[in-house]
Amino acid sequence: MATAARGASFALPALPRSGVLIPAMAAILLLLLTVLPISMLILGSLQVEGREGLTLANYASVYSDPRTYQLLSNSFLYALGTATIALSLGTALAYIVERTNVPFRRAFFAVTLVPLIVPGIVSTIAWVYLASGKIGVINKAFMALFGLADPPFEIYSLLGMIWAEGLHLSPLVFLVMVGAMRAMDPSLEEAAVTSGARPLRTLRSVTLPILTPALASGALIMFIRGLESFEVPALIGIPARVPVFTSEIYEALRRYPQDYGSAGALGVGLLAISAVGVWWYGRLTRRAERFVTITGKGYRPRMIDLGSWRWPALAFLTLYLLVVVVMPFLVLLFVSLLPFYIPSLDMLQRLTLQNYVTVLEHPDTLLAARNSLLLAFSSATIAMALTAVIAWIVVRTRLPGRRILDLLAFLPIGIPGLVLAVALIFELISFPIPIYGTLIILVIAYVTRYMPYGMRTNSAAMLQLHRELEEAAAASGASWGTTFRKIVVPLLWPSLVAGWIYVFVVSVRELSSSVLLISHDSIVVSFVIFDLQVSGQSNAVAALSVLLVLSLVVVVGLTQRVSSRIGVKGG
Amino acid sequence: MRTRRTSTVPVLLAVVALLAASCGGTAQPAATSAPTAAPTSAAPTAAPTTAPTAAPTVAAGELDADTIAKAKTEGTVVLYTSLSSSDSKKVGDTFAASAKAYGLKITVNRKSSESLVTQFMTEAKAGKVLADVLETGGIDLFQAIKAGYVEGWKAPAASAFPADLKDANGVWHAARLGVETIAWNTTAVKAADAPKSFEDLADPKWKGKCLIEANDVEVLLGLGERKYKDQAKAQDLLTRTMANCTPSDGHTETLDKLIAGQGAVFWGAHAHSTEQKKAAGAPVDYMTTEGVVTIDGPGLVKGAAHPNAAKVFINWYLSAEGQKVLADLFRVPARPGAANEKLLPKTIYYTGPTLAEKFPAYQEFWKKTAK
Repeated sequence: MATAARGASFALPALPRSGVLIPAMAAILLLLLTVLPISMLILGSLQVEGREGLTLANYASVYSDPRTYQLLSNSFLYALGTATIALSLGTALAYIVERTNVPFRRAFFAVTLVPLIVPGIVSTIAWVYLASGKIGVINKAFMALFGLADPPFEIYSLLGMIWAEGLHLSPLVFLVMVGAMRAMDPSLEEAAVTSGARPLRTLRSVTLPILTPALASGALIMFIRGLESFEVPALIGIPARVPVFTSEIYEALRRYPQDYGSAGALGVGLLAISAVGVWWYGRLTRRAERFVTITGKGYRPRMIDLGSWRWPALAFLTLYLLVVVVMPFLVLLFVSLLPFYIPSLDMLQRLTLQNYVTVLEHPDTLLAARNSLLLAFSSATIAMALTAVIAWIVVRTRLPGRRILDLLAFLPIGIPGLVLAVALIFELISFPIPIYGTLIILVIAYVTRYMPYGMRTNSAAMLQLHRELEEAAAASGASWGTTFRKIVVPLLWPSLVAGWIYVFVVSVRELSSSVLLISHDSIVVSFVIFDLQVSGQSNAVAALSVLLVLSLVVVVGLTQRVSSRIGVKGG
Repeated sequence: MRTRRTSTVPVLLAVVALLAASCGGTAQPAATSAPTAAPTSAAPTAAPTTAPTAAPTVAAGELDADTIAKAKTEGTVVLYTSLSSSDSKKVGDTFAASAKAYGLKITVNRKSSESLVTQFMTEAKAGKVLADVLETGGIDLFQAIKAGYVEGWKAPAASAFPADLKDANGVWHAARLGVETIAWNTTAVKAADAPKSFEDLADPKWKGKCLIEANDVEVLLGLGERKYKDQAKAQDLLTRTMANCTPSDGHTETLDKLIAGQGAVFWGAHAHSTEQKKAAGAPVDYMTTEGVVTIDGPGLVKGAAHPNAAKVFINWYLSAEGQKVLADLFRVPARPGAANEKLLPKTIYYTGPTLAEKFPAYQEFWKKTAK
């Protein structure tokens, strides 16, 4: 974590006007990362191949098609359901693990992060093995146990999609909420308890209102993440005939002739919905002062004694881990050890390590692993550093246009990875930068895509910091750089770490942009998984997924360990 | 623990500098980014660029000395292929070993056919021709041919190929044949009940037991144009088949589902992957009475950086040596005599680039029916 700390610190060697320089550069970088691709997207949506000039023809054809409104309704239901599941599960988990004396909470903390690490394509495949029609393991088990004639669950449905994506996203909410809860001033809760409030009352009247900014941003992120998610709509939605915006864009780019125009028009539609989300978020958090919860006072988060409720809480955690971590992992492990998948215990006689041999002998595995690590590390560091400065500008200054910066840092969340990749390719066409097919273009894509998460994490946390500390530093003559480094970064630390880990992990998982942007030398792990999957080596995919999950668990575990030590010290 | 160094901002600075520099001088309106070397003619009428220069000393099927000499100076060939990753590695490695004498290296970019051609076309539009050889499914390759991105060149090694396995102007050559058929789960279907023709899956007895590859327009194209010679008849078959079958994405993914027991029969299975699973002991078999056969192969990229090296590759790929690599991978090479006849169905309906113009109509109907 030491290196990330370096990346996240903003000390320039005694530049006199660093107070202006760094924020200004960050703002310019932000413009380049967002305005350019969005302009490309909009321009693209206004062009029809082979015709001169700009036209609204793509919009006319896309938005006069009744199918688009079916997409809209599917997308909306899917995103809403996903957000509901992810938010309720993630918040409950964060509260139990972070604030109560539930048994084994430390162990749970680590294990809860595992599903966050699992690439979307992997968890989706795992759920297909678990709950698809007649061949899902869970279905098989229920049918055998209860003598059912038909499989009880069907992953190939809207509910199945919501289930897979909601579970998949719940650890992200968990991370966001843990960050917010750590940054919370417990004296407010203590006051409630001292005044005789019971734990549930305290939770409802004190804790939840304090957490409102984080909850609102979490809900928003989940909703939009659901809107722009790709793996579940592609792997479950298309076969289930539940088309959503992203899968439709994917289809438009996959057919001949490639329909960039429709993809662009749909992409701009998604963007518009996101913009509404941002505007809404802005309204929610405008009266930010209400939620200021960190002041200069020293504090320690207080543990809540659950009493006899410890055991139901433990049961809830166990069930969650069983469904979200243990079963998907076991089914992948099972598949990874088989020559071909049949949901039957008889297959245990046919176990083989051949898939692991295939994966390790795969010509691209090592190169891809190296590239993925390198990319994830740089993207996470750059994204968190950049958004910390941008969040500061937005929250702290009265610069005209700061709301626009906020909007810009958030907008990429509404650009599906595929569309961003197309926009970037057109960008490279227009501006002769020789980075096509290199890792740099992937870093640019990842930073752009994941900046919004850094931005939400950082600004939600920044909103909770009272400016009195910074004002004190400034009054004592500290420069902007020193204040930022000595006051803001340490206070933001839990959020910075949480955000960094998240961006690191999602960068390793990233698929939908990479698929269009990689060349042979810039191949990444998620693409190798995808490539093996489309080459029909699904058992090898399971083996590679198991290896990937295990190595990411080690990386995240170490990061968590080191950073929590730093966090204690720094906090 | 926390280490801070005062000189550690450069990552951010470097990126800013890079992006700032890149936008400085040459900012052009995006609209002008349209194809600079835009192809004008839709029909690939490009005359072969190689005059019949083959010196009399050149053996049949071999390249002339001049091309080989130029290839040596080019040093490398970039192959864009939709062969599977392991197969493309095998092809690349074998070629590299064989071309060592010429000092030729090979770089392989493997993707699924749509992604590959999509990427290639985008690059070509951008004037960034990175590929020397584009090797993929005929219908996909045709998109690049139609857009004018493929050079006509007749490979000497293909002189013995029948006319329907190569283009008269040399914009494509068949290298491998893809057999599309019906597979079944042998646990669920007795040999006597197994389908014997594509029409069989329209039988109501398969209702709810049948999987169909969700985008396998090419089978329908083959049936409509070659078997029935009647588009409406093929469309009627699809309508009746779709009433029984569940669409499922991906040929091999669906094959896996079939083996796992999700369905009893599968329309659109690839014979070679089914054969591989069968060899591994999976309870699966496939129809050999008839099959739609796709024509896949290489095209020489127009404006390639290494055109002569590309010719060396293509000629090797179509030669007996190159085709044997495909046969060893359980695939069906196009070269006469190179294929394991057992892998070919008794009745063959060829698709390939010659039918590509008819493809959109079938695709349109497919989309409506599969909804």
